[in-house]
Amino acid sequence: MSRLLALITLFLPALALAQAEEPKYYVFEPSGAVSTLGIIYTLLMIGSFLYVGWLSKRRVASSDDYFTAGRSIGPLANGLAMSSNYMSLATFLGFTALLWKMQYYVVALVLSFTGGFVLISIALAPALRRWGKFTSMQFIGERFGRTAKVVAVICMIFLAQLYLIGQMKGVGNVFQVMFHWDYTTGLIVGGLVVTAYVTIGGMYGLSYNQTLQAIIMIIALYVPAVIILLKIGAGPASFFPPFGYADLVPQMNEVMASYFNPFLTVNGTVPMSFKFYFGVFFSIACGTMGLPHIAMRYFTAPSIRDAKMSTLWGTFFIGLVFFTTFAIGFAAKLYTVNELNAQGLQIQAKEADLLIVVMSQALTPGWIAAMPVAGALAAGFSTIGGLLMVIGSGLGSDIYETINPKAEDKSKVKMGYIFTALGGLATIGLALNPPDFLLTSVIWAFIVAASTFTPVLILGIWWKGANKPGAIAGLLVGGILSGILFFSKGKLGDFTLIDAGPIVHLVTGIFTMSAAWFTIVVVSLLTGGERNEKILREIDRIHGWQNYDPRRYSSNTFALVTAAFALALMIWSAIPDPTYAKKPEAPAAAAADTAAKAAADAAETVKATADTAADTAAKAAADTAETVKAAADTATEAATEAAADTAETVKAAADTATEAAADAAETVKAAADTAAEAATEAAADTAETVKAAADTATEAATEAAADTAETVKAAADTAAEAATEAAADTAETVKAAADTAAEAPAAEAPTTQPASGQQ
Amino acid sequence: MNNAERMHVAYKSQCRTTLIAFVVVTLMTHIFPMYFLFPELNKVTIFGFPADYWLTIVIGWLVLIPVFWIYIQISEKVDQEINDSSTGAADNAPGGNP
Repeated sequence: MSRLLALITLFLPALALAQAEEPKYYVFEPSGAVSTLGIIYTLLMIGSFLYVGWLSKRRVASSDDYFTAGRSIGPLANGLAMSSNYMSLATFLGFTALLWKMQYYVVALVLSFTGGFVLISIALAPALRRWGKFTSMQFIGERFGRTAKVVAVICMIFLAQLYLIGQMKGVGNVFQVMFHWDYTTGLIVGGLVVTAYVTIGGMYGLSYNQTLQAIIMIIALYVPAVIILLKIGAGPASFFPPFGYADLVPQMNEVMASYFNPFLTVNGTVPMSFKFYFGVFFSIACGTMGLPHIAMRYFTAPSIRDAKMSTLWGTFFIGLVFFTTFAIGFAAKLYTVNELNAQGLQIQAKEADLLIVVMSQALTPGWIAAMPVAGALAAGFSTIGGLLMVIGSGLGSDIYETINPKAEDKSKVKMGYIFTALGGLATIGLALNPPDFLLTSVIWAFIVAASTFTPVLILGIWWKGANKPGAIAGLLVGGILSGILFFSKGKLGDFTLIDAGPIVHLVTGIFTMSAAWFTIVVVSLLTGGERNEKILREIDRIHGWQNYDPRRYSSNTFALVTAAFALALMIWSAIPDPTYAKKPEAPAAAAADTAAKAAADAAETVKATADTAADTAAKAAADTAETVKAAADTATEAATEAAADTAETVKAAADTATEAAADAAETVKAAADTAAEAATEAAADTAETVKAAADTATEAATEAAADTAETVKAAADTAAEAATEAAADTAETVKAAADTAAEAPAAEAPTTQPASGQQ
Repeated sequence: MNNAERMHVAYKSQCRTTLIAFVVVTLMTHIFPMYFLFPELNKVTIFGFPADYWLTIVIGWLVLIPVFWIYIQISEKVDQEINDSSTGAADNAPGGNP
């Protein structure tokens, strides 16, 4: 048995490696009903978007209408538009995939997104809204000058492209998998549709379409989520999916103990440190604050209060969609572990991005299963539209205005059309070679935003000391550093700047944003701060003041303290985390390593189980042997005692017999002496005849007595010997029987050394 | 309280409200220090979920909404006071950052 276990222990890793060399992958194939209904839903949806875009075109009379929808979008509609603008295809499909891959850690990411969304409304939106322009770049241009605006527009194009590639890739994937188009065709058709309706309708069309898209997304996610949860046994709580899977938590803990562990990620293989969580704030929340297409929605609100109320609605809808996505991601993880992995099938990145559709097709009727297809495309279109609008306004308005300051309003609108369309076409071209996971490039877009726009906007609004050289230097440092680290994955040339393992980019965000912040403060102070009174007056005005006081928002102490803090964060983020000191390995080697580790773990488990079983058996045998031995010893002692008692009894009887014989001999001898004396006296009394008769009688009596005593003594000795021998034989027989009894169980437990040893 | 003092108070209120709201929202949506301070929360359940998981979502989403609504009300009052106190006031008036 132990050899068999040893063989299993030796060969399990090898078997697992052999298995890992030829993995079987799950391939999703949409059913006919899902594919057909998906096409119908998609065509209806695209038709609606284009119609809304065409209707909106009639309302566009000025650049203000084209870029800000005439600042007329109410809080509920704007909240819905904000949520659909923010929740992209990467969110709709990518979060499920990311949750499937990283589990608990995604909770931190999602809440950081939500937090960043609210932080814009607290720290930036009111002032930007009072400034009264269309984009963040325009604010930067008027606050820090034209050069800063050009740098900001370049940064915007870089991050918008990073963001858009992920979205375009998702659109292409959906068309490819659902409708069997090749990726390029799907990408071009999807990209052209969204480019068309955004270009035609401008911000009016975009706003109304984004509101419509938010409603489609919520229905397309919520309804399948309820049915999926009901089907996998989540019970009545399924009707509120964000918290609808509590009953399945124990089941998840059984199949994947690390799912709810905040200190592990990537299926329990990567430990989570405090620094990673800290990096989430700088990368995601601060990145959200800097995203120009998010900030742009605040320019469409009629008032600052409406802009804040839009955020409130947006927060609710964003949470509803995010946490419903969590429920589906949770169900997908259970499904893949219980159903697919049990069949020896693995999920690839492409299928992971489509898990919502996979789950819907597996567990819901066809007409519902096709809904997520429409929802995903709506999510993709809404975000692509928002970003194209930013590109169009950034180039069509901001750059064109810089080149041609006397441009008429009509020509600005015309340029908006042209650059929006060109931005869409350029993105389609870039998305032809996309990254693996949808969110990979999107998270880098957040990091670029956090390292460029966020510090410039916060300091530009809240610190009068920030000036043009500081802003330009900060934008360049943040943009160039995040760009280099994006391409080099944490390295500056041969020097490893950030060494933080598989999810290094989140820690990179701490470094790049802190570097930009530090640069803006230090360069601004070294160059004398802002001295243009017109700009300083504007800063008071965007905070709601009707008069000007140079002492407001001018604390250099505050700026220096934050700069010192930023410097400390830069150093801290660059210190290698011992947890992640190991260099990232090649994917194949990492997969083999993971398989070997899993096999070794399995072998250890089997061996541990076998050892435990062997220990238990040995312990039971030892206990049994000890019990038997104790019984045998007791029996031996009893038998020995009994034999000893018997021998003593026999010996006592023999002694008694000997004593009786001796007594009898003495009695006979006394009688003989008495007779001899009588005969002597008689002979002395009667002459020699009597004396002769007496001698004869004496001799005869003496001989007779002697014979009798010897006979009696010999008989007594014989009896005593016989009794002693019989007792000894009995004792030996009993002892032998006891030994035999003790040997028998001990022989059945050969591993029990004490039992055999004592024998 | 004269107009200059009103502006001074309004300025302080604006900075304080913004800073506190920023920190509170950041903490509510980045509750991860709780994992490191109270790791045993992972072993306790609330409504069937591990307590840290449940608290993270509820605080970062459902509790955030009323907290943000309260901030909107306060910030609107502060904005109104800024507007009222500074309307018609002369430039470089006392107040502002001491």
